[in-house]
Amino acid sequence: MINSKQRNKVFVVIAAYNEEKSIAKVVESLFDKGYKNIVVVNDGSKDKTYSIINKLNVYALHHPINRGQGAALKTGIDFAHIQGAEYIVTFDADGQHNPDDIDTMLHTISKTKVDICLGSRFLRKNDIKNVPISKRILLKGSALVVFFYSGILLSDAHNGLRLMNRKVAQKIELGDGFEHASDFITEIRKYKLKYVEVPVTILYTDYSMQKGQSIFNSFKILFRMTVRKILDL
Amino acid sequence: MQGIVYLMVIIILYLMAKTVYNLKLDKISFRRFCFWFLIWTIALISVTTPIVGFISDFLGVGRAADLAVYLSVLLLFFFIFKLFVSVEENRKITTLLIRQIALNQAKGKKKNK
Repeated sequence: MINSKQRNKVFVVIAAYNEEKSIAKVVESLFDKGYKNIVVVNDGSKDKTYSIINKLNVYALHHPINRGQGAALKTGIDFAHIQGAEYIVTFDADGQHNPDDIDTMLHTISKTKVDICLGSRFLRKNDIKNVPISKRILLKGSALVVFFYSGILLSDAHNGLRLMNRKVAQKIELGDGFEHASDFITEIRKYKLKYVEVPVTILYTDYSMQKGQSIFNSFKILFRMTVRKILDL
Repeated sequence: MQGIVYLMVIIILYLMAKTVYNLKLDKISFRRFCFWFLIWTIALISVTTPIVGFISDFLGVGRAADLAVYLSVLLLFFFIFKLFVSVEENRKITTLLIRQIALNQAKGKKKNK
């Protein structure tokens, strides 16, 4: 079992863009679970997200201009690294992640000595049932694209819940936008990092579905990844 | 050779030199250099040898005026390339700056402790 001493070694990084409706609840759920080191990066939100996180007992970071989820996560990861975090978790701000899964990841990383645990919603039958059909097709397609670029075939290549050690936090470079999810995988390949997929539950609500990626956006990400790969940017 | 061909050769040689210069200044990676140098080499061969005549005959495009279109396409490619690189570089610099500002302002900022 994971105790509070182990949880204190963990920094949870949340990138928030226009999340005034959910961010306080998400932070509270992490506090309730015993995670005290929470870093929220407000990524140039146009709503009240920044004023809300400033009232919470968290490390509040602020991008004056929106730079994308990847850039915000990298800011949070760098900050957590500077603060001496032993483990760093990336956690979504829209409330679709379950804080209980961090314990599972923490247990896994301690036991298996891997560098990074990647959440997957496709490892347990009950979790798969929760995934809408359109999402399943999109996510499986994305996993194939990531495999094409990185050589690593994952069951869920675009899951925002990850737990990494300091070594990973120090090395990885991420793209600015949503392509950062694929960047994690290409960086794993580049630095020959040890990884494992851990089953996690994604809570699909109307809100999180609305905030999620559309098919059009997915094609934009794919185009951007391809251009970056070809032009070596 | 017609005047337009000389002009095209000069422009292509300039673009080749510019590509080499950018590599020397580390503005482009070696992979990108190879890609663009190959493009310009193909363009040069096409303009200076009869191969383009064979190709245009084969494709049914034989008018000299079409060369102007080809030239424009080449220039557009070059400008798009320059623009894309410039936008990407600026985007990266902006992100780096914003992230640095966020990190500097966040030091010891944990609230209500």
